[in-house]
Amino acid sequence: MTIIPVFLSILGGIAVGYLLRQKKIVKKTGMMLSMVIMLLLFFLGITVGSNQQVVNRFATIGMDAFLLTLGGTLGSLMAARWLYKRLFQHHDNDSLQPGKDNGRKR
Amino acid sequence: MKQTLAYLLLFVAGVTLAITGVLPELLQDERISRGILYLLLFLVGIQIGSGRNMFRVLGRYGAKIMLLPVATTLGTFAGVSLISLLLPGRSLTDCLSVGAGFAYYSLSSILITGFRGAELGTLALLANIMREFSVLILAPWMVRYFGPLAPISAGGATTMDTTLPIITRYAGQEYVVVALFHGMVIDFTVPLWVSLFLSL
Repeated sequence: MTIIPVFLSILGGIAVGYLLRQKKIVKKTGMMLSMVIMLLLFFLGITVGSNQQVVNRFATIGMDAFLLTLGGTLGSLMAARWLYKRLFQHHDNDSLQPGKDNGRKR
Repeated sequence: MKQTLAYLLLFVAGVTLAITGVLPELLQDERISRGILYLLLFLVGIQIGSGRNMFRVLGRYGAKIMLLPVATTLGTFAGVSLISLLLPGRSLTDCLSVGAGFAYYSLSSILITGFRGAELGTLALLANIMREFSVLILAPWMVRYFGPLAPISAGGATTMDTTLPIITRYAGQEYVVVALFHGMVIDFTVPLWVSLFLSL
């Protein structure tokens, strides 16, 4: 599997989505997307279940998954704290409130 | 939550059917799931191309709101890179592709399975489900120790749907728009990052 068809699929979708952005049919995309995801997760289950290596190594895979989640989540938490202290806390918080017109001079 | 459950049930149904062996050969043909994968990416593209909400929100709240998705991305990649040092069996790019799922477990695991096989795909599925659940369970703790932006960052791509209610409950109503915007941006970068790391 190469990367080019992946990008082409996404880019083709973006072009079609942009052209059809006024049409009603694009509102159905979310629903179609969840149906396709369900189908693919079923297939993913089949791939996983018929792969003896994955079934045998499930505990190791789970542990690696846990560690990567821990690292990624903690990293993002620290980045969020840094950003909040630097940019959000000392400014007036109203700028984040919906309905207020901060930053719009009109 | 209901949708997550449906997704998991279908995955488990697939695993069970494959293990018990009651499965027609036809369903095990990889070309079928690969074809559906391209359809999935095409639909993701349509969603990106037809949605203009993202830019409207940006115009209204200014560039500051843009920085949170950047912080989420950089923080996640930094954390995952550190962990990859502890996992000698896994390459840095494989670890980064798992982290780049940003809790969007369905899309990332499907993509990773297509490129790297079921082992890393399963890992991505588990890791990204755990990330979503960490927000559902730990949001109040995240707000207390890391501030109101923390559960949004941790929620990754899910902050515009599944984790939005819990975020607004603990971070506050004024973060709804921040969370929505963050979710939209991360959501559409997931397939790009994941395929980038897999191609390296």
